[in-house]
Amino acid sequence: MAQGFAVVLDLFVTFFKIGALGFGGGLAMLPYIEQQVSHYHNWLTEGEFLDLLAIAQSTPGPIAINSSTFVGFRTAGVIGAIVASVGVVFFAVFAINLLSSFLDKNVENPRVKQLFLTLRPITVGLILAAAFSTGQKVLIDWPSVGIALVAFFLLSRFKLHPIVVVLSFGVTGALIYMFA
Amino acid sequence: MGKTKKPSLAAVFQLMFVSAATTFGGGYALVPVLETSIVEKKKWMEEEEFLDALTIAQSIPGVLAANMALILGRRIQGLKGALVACLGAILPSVISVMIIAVFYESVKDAPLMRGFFAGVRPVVVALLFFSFLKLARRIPRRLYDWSLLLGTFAAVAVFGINPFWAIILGGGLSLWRKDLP
Repeated sequence: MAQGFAVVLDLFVTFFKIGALGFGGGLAMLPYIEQQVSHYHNWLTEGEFLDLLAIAQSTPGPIAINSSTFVGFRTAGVIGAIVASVGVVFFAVFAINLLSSFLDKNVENPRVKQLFLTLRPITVGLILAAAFSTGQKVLIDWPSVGIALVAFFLLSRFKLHPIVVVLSFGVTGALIYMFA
Repeated sequence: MGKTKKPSLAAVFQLMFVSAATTFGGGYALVPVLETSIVEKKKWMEEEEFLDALTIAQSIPGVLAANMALILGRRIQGLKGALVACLGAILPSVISVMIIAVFYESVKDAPLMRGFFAGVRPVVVALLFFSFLKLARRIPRRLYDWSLLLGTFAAVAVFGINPFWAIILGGGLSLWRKDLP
């Protein structure tokens, strides 16, 4: 029991660190997660880490949360899954509340305004980078390029909600693979 | 908040839960989903506010999607809103990963799974490009802003530099800028 508690505490501390030090979104955090859980802690073997990569990207939700849940679950069951997932966002809960209350008090400050005006194009540039990197990995043949183009058309011309588009293509794909 | 509306905590939770549960491929894929729901459909927030929330989410370490949920929840409903939104963003992961982890060996090569993701993955690219075009409309058509935008894109997408450095550079540059409207 005491040993179980130690593992749970260790999970929390490790994922707290990953959340507090990892920058750039889930995919950018994966190498750091790997180093922590496969090399430093031996919670997952190399093969299990490959499973993690596949599962984190094929379950809904953020990749970093999915990874935390998976490692926590494999290491300490349901409690481990919850503790690791809460741990990875714990830093952000405090950081964002502090930062937001500071920004709320200083919305009229010219420096703060200037900061946001400068960071806006950078933020949008990062979205374009995410589109490009995902495209490089995913658009590998004519069907995938075709799906992306049709999906883009449905989003921009018909103003369909992204959720509707994602699920329609997912279900269509599942039906085609099952019966073809 | 101007002409934007204030929803209930349950509505905030529901929106985050449904958005996270139907998003595949990480935090960036969540951006267009949230933008469509929060800005366009429900009008809880204006486009600029959303863009600034996204900027804060990217400037803080951690999970982009959880950061987004915390900021958006806070803007909409204060600290309670932040916690409820964050919980909504996490729960689909916790539930679905535990289920998949148990059945992984038996489902990983199932045609149902492979077909679903063959259909979904290219859509994520379309979604991201679509949300880029939408948010890019809010960027002034000036050399300075577009150099930053395309410079960030090239640094991160082509040269593999961590987005963190782009944010730091932006913070530094903002100290020199004097063109506030």
